[in-house]
Amino acid sequence: MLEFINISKSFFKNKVLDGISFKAESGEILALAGQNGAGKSTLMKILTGIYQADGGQILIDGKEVHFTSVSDADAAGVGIVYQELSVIPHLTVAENVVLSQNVNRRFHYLNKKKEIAQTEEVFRRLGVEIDVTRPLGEYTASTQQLVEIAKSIYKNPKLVIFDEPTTSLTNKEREKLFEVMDAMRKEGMTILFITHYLEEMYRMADKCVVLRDGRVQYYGAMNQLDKGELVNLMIGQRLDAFYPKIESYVTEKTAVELSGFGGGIVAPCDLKINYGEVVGLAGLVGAGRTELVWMMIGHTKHSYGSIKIDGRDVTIKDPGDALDLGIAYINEDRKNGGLHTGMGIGFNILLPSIVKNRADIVSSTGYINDKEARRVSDEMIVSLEVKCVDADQKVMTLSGGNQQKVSIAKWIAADPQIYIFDEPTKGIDVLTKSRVYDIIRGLAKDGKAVLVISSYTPELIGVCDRVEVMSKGKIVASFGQGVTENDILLVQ
Amino acid sequence: MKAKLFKKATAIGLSVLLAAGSLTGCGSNGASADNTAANETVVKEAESGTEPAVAPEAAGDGLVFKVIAMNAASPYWLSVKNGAEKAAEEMGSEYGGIKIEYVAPQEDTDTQKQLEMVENAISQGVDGILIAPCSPTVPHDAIVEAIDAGIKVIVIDQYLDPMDANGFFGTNGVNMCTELGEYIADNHLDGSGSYAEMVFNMTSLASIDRYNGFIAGITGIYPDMKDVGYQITESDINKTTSLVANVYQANPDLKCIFANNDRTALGVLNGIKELGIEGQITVCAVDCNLDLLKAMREGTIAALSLQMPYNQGYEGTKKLISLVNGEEIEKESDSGSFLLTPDNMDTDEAVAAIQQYIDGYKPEDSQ
Amino acid sequence: MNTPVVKEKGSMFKKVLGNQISVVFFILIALIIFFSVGAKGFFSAYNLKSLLQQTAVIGIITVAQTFVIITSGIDLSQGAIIGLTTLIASGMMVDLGLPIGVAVLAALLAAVLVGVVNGFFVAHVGLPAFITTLGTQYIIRSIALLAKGGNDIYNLPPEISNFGRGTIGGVFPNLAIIMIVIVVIMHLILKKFSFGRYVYACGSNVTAARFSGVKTKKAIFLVYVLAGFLCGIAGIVMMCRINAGIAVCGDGYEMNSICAVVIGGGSLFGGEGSISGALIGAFIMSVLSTGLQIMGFSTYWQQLITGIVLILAVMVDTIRRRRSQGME
Repeated sequence: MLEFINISKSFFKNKVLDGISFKAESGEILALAGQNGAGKSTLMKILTGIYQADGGQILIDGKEVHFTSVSDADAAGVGIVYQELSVIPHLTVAENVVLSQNVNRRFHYLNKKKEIAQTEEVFRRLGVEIDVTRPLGEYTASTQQLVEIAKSIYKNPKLVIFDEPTTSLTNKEREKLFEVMDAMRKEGMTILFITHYLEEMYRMADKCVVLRDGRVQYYGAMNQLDKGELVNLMIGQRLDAFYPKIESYVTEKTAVELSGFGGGIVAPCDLKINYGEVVGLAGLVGAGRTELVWMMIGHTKHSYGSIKIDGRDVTIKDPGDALDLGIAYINEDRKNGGLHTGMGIGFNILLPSIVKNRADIVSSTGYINDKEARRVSDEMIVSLEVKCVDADQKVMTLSGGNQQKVSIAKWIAADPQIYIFDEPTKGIDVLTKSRVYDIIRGLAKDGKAVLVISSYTPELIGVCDRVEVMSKGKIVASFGQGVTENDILLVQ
Repeated sequence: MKAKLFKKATAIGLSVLLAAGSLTGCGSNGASADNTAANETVVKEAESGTEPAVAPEAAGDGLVFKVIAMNAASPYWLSVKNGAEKAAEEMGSEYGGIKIEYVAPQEDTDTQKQLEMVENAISQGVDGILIAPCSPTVPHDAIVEAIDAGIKVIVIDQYLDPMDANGFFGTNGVNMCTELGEYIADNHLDGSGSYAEMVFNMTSLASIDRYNGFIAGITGIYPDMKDVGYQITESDINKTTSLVANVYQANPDLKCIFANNDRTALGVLNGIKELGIEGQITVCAVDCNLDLLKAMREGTIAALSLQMPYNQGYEGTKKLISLVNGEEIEKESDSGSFLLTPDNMDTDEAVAAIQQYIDGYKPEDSQ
Repeated sequence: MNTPVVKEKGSMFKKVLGNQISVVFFILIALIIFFSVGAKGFFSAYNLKSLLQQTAVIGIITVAQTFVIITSGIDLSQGAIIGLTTLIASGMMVDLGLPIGVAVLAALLAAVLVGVVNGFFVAHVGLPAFITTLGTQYIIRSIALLAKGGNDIYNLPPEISNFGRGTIGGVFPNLAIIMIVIVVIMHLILKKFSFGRYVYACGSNVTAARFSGVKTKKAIFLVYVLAGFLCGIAGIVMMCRINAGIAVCGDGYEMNSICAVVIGGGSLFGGEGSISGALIGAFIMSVLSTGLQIMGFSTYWQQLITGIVLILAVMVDTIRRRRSQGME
């Protein structure tokens, strides 16, 4: 149904796509795999009419097409479901769906009854039960994402691109999504599925295209591609073990001790983290993990219990106090809470160090030694392998993986004793994920105390010495080495 | 790509320059300041560092006069400008053309801006300045500097303190409003009740003088009549309307309101109309415009003191020309005023006085 | 294996035109050259001295506004603080006969107090800066008018006007020197001290700043207090210039300082801006005003042209910004 023939695209002297050719049939899910920068998003932007290819052809149902705008692609039956939701919360589900169709038609009269009927039909096709007359804001993010899908289905597209759809979903929600994708496949639609999660590719895709450095490295059946081979093709090197080997560096010295600590949706909890230990915190979205951690660092107030650092009772009124005590919190939300995306890499990396008055950078009067500061940020950039032009480059121009490296680098530079990672590998590519795991184990080796929150159980098992599980605001279980995903899932 | 940005920046820069340049073309008319003889653009290191490097042009090569008004918005000053331009037109040929340049701060409270304008006129090296000071003292030193640099300065409308300019030509605000106060007291009041003043500010002497004059006029005849005090309007019509309501609520026995400029008067009329008390309050004011004249016909305004803005501009400019010629002029002269009432408003004298404000006015216009 | 940091040999143009400061500097020089050639009397010792004096008050409040705007706030009370300061200082000297030093200090204290009020409501209570400072503007203006019934204060000690018209070495105006000193100190604080980093951090993303350990409430509070203090100094400078205490003077000046900051590359969304850029912006506006007057343009033309230049400068800034983002 869709065919790319020798597509190429350059930005100035940079060749981003080089001779891309493959086909996608109706009723088929094709996984598009590749690192960030491999060319996936550029190729999709060409397919959706945002960019134009420099060379090659695109055929839809055998006919050549030239998209010069998004509406061209739209009219030809190409739809896309983005990670980012565009939700108007106070309008109903039906209104949201219909509104997205009428953007170009100014005086189109919206017949309410027809609106509702047509929207309900779409959700029926997807096998989703939902009351389309309720305001969209009342639904959870994952349901809102289903509505995003509905918006593109409404137009009856021939092809739908799913761009990293599962990043913010819980396991249950992901299952629902896959059911919907399956329904669409059965209807005969073509689906291009972009995801960083290898298991998902194997689960859902019929065919697979692997891109690296702008070229097609593999085009064929999904189940004929060995996992290790897939990773190899994606990153151009062999990755023997995805997760680092776990040697225990756990010491007897306790870094953090929570006693009866809680507030809000978090019931009084006890938790202990020793130096040299990596403790995982598993649980569903809404179990209270981030809420617990926010109280630990003083971002929100806790109502009961106490927290001891290095055996001493402490009061933490805000993250500044936490930093003083040597606690670092790597935020789940890079864009809004973790990084200053409009500022340079160096600015971001140095901020906590400056707050902490790191002696080699900041004098007692607050004067900043620019040369030393620059040296430190360059050091961090090199040691974490942040791909950039220089430390002045603005963070918003970096890929997700590199942004995450920066958000980790800034805390390492401040030399804390205790690290709290909240969803550290969310939305980043395979290679960087592996690098982050190395970093975490490296911190434990250096004698730091580490807490890792993650919704991706395999990574907790692969990286932590111990996994605590939270459910509905309580810590319900604690597992040591050798736990399986199933064990954890049962308890959640 | 960087080259493209540079080109774009240059293009923008050049278009700014070109735009400004072309505007110069349509901005100047008549003789422009193209005098090479006195053209010293070299940076000079003067002793006190305050001497301007440019001397005014010699007569015969065209003159430039700067008219510096109190604010850029009021039509009063435009009458002044018109008068000045008329004089420039009439006498210009003998001098190679006289150019009138009109500047004023946005608000008449921005004394610093007006001070800047005098300083800039000195830098420019104009031949004469006609200025209505926003404040009696702020521009003083700069005016003295201007005179030292050979620029002739006539102060119009409001006093400079101390009066160190070449001449003063303005209305004696105190006398003008005393006359007004007396007329109102004689014809409309009986000593009972109270009166209030709406003033545009308490910074400029014009405003202060008129206020004092009016009170003197009333108290001369009814010394015991109650004065409820002044309100500052900042020439804002809306604000004045509200102030009238406040004053009336506080003083139900209010019999008379004095407004010391045209905008304020309009605000007072609005206020009275909103309250529906037209019959009860006697309104009088300084300056006029068509709305105020119509109100006078209707009977809602009892009297208007008219200044001679056109004359201030016209005669003021002629005085500057005389000074440039080296002739002597009267140091201080009164530009005159006229008390306009419903009885005399159609007389020739009155019509002429109104024409000072409204060019080509005829009695039919206000009916 | 290490990925070396790629240092691109950027072209000179990138360095020069990669930031707004260079662009506005270029515009300023172009304007000065244009007026020196086209407006007789512009390029003279007297006029250049005039320009420095004329820009002193606005220059100082522009520095204050830069800090505030970088935190994504805004200070609309600047003009009112100037008026109040001139009134308090003059009143103390003339009505109460107090020595100049005491009067100036008292006036500065009042200005700082206004800053404290602004800072408290914006940083600790969390009210929008626009509303808060607009409210303080009205309140302070009214207090100033009530204090003397709207009357002005004259007959200041001669030292005031002497200082105002005085120069160092016969060339450099005292008032301009005050402005320059403030500019230099504040520029250093913003760029080279940790407080400056906190200011940018709060403006760029206050949540991320808080999570990074910055005491955001304290930092933003201090910004408004500093702004109040600087406006107080601007008020003293104004008083020396006009040799009077006038409650309504400075009215509307905050509009000019906001313009200057934006011309200089500041963003009303916060996180961007510089003192050098803002100062150049302030000079662009005063050079335009003076140059056009000397060329003989009426006030109406000046407003028009200044508005056009403002739009052009912001356009260039926006284009440049988009380019640098689209580069990646």
